[in-house]
Amino acid sequence: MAYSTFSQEKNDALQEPMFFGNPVNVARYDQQKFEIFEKLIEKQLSFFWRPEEIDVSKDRIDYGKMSDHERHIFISNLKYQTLLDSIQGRSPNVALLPLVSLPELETWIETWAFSETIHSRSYTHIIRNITNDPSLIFDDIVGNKDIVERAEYTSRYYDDLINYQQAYNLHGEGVHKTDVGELDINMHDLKTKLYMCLMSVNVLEAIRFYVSFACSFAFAERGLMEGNAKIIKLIARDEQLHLSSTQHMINLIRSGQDDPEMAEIAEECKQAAADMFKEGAEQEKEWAEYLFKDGSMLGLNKEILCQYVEYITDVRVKAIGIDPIFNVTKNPIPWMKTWLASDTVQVAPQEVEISSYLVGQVDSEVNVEDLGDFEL
Amino acid sequence: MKQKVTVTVNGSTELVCNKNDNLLRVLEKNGYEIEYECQEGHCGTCRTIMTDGEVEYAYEPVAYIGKNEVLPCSAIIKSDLNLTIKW
Ligand code: FES
Ligand SMILES: [Fe+2]
Ligand SMILES: [Fe+2]
Repeated sequence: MAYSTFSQEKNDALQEPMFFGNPVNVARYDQQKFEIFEKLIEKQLSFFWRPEEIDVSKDRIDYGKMSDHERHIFISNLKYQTLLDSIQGRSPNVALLPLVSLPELETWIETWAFSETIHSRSYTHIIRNITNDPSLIFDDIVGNKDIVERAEYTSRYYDDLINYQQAYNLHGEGVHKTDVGELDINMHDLKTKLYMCLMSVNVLEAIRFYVSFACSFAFAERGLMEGNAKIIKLIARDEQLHLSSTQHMINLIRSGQDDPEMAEIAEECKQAAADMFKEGAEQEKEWAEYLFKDGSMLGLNKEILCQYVEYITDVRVKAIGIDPIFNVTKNPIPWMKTWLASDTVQVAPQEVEISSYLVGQVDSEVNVEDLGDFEL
Repeated sequence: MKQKVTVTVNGSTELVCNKNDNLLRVLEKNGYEIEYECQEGHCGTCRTIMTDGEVEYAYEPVAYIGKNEVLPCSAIIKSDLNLTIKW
């Protein structure tokens, strides 16, 4: 079944599965099979922000005063995030768009990937501000073993799916010689690769950024690199949404509401999915170790960060029906909550009437004034 | 006069509060440490088991909510509730 950008086959998108049905032809949003993706699009659009709107000029002074090992922490995190968002800005499009069959899901994937490109652009904004020669930072990313290893773990599942999917689109099922070797293409394997790919993206959105987030917020708790923290706060808000979207995809598949064969595959992959989360968490713990190899930072150390990774891993796996892996039930970094809360939330909603509790959530403009007097 | 409702936790503890209270605040006020992040219904971190009762959402949540689950952060209590809080 060759992929076409305009499938002329008449189809009723309400009857299609999320993936591997007919390609989407008309982008229409008046009806949805799974309304949630339409809501996610709306939400993501309402979150729109531009890096340049956040003033990072004071960060330059803070950065100048930092010790070498704190700079190592700060810059390493930036590099890691830069690479992960580079991958995320393209891969959902390349890997998933040729397989998707619902207009609302197709547009969600594009909206999601686009928001990742804003994250990438914000790293350039931050890096440009702290150094006169951004190349020193950017050029080191692909050669940095600790960063590459972990990013490769995510890209592997994307690449695997892409290779199979391309061979399938060109030649259909059967055994085919390709650039990456002989591939035995069958629908069951293809769907398994899709599921594992969705799971690895879910792991990425669920836990992979959080060690870095914690460091950024820990600096800002001390009044350092606050411009950076404001940007990271906006990124974190987007990532929460991306996480919800992968959880929705996975849970729709698991529940059998979508493609029954995919539901069986989800069951077959249950252990592999749990293992993947565990592996992801271990890698993030190693990252914490790498960050703090020359010294901790005030308010954070390796032990606390590792516990935090274990704690959020448990929260995340429970959301997709996997039993807790580490059984860490207490959040060891309680102040993270404040940074991960949406700015639109009022402090004591129960004290006000419901009509006034509905604060403007479609406030798509984030301006510096709004953020400026935001106290944490 | 505000209408009172009862939130029962784990079948035993009864918390009396006002109808239309925010569920997360009620639980916090009573010493339950519900984990949350966004407080706006889009991250799913606060997901909690609710076996019985009725809530409304201030914002329509986009986080995944399973059967018998509630997102306390943005839930407005509309009736007596039964919750299971494991930790
Ligand atoms: S805290 Fe995010 S959904 Fe409740
Ligand atoms: Fe991102
Ligand atoms: Fe993301």
